[in-house]
Amino acid sequence: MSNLDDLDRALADWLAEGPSTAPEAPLIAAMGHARTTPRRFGPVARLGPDPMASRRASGVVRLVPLFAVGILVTGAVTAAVIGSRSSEPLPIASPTPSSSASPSPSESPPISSSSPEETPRESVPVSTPSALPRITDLPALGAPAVPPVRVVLAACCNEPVVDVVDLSGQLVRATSGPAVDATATDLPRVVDGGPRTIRLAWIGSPCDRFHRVTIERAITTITIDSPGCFGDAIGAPRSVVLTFGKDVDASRIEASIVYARGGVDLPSWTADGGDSASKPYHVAVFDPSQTVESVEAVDPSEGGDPGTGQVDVAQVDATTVRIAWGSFACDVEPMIVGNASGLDWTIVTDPCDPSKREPVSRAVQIRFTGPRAVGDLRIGMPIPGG
Amino acid sequence: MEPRELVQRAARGDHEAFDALVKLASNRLYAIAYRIVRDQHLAEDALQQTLITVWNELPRLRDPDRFDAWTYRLIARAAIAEARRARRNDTVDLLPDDADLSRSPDAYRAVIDRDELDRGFRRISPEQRAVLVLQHFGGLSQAEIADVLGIPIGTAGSRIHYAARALRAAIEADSRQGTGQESIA
Repeated sequence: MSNLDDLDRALADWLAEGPSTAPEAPLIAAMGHARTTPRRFGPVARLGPDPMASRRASGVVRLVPLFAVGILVTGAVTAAVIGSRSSEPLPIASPTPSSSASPSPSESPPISSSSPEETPRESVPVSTPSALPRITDLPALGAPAVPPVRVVLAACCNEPVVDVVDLSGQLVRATSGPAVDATATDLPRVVDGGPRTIRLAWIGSPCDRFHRVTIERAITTITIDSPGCFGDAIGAPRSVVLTFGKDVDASRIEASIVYARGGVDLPSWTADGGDSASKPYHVAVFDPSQTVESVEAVDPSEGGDPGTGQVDVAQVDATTVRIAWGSFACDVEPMIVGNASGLDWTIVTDPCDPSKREPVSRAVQIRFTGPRAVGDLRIGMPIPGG
Repeated sequence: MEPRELVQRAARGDHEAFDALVKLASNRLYAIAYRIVRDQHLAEDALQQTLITVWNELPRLRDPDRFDAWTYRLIARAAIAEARRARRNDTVDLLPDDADLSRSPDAYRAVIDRDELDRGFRRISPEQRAVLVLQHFGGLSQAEIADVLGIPIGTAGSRIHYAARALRAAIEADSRQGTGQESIA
């Protein structure tokens, strides 16, 4: 027994005597949970209140996902209605109030229900990343049929990730692989890594951060889906090592890469840009309509500052629009999410740390596969001012 | 790899980064949980629940620098919940209704040993234990405790104050009753 007349000090000393090393069981259980509960990437994944948001901010933040999801759902319903009336002329809708620029409809080319200048779409292997991204006539990718396994690639920049969707049920391990020769011309390539292991290698671009690798049921076909991205001419090597629960023959596996058919859990297009404060950001465009032909981040200063929480839309040419919006520098990964009609778009911003909210403007130029007038687009941004 | 980078990678679904985060944070979290619940198995349950919540909710944490504060909040809540559940199942010798909580610290000058502290600590509420652990073991300031628990600073201050008084009263009540015979949580 010790004579202590300072309870605080006695309490501190007593508390310090307890165990300081965690047993392994909870750690193993949590790690196991993580491996059996893979995350999904997509607009919905990060919507939701910040668990450490201030009490005042949390109420606002809670409204954000509801509003965003509401827009998406409304858009999907609208798309379904429009789709069911595909033989009718497309309705001409007014821009949303948040779209502050709306050129006169008389200046806009008419909307056609067909796409006379549609880009040929085909799935092609690529040899260099400087080749223009090609899109396919396949429907936009939906959510994976099975929960994917996410691999963060050990690449130099931007932490590219690959979601591996295994339809064979044989995949037991997926890891980042060693770099490949970026000048190789026979990519994508499947390399033998052992009786049950293969290495899948391809060349991407520094601006395409998200990929999906789908292993078909018979493990004879592997498809790499990548966002369309006009990045540096310098290739970015990508490689994953896949280990199966049975023997596989690398020489009998055909791999192909397909660009820009994302839409739900995978961006269709990505771009790296600089905001009005010259700080970099990465924008991901989700286009389930498959009507976007390219996305390019452009200089936001050219069109004036739209103001925080505001959106400006301008016609560049018959098929191209420029979208500028006011946001915060701390939101470095904004998303632009379209609906099935390609007419409704939502700019999803991240309500990042309020203490780091430096207002900035950003702008992208979106080229569509056919004529598109700004007056027909409805573009919203559900987090005006965070 | 820096903790901030681990948090960012784990938020994107990187299992290896999550594993590293778990190993980095688990000792700290377990130590907090154990000191609140005073039971190894309950502390393990609280830790496991916290780590699972970290995996599930990490993408929504906007600022990676808030990871430590967030995990303090999660472990405190999980430990409080475990302690409450244990209290429902066990016989607990609560503070007597006439416990004198008004005595000033200066008036409380008694001989305190570990057993007295242990018994007294178990008799105060889990919420009161949590603030005392965060302050005296975690080394958190009043403002940090408020942040961790998601309560106003003033509330944190009063909670700390009353927790200390309750602990003193519990120890004093224990000394009046005689020691060592209670069934405790």
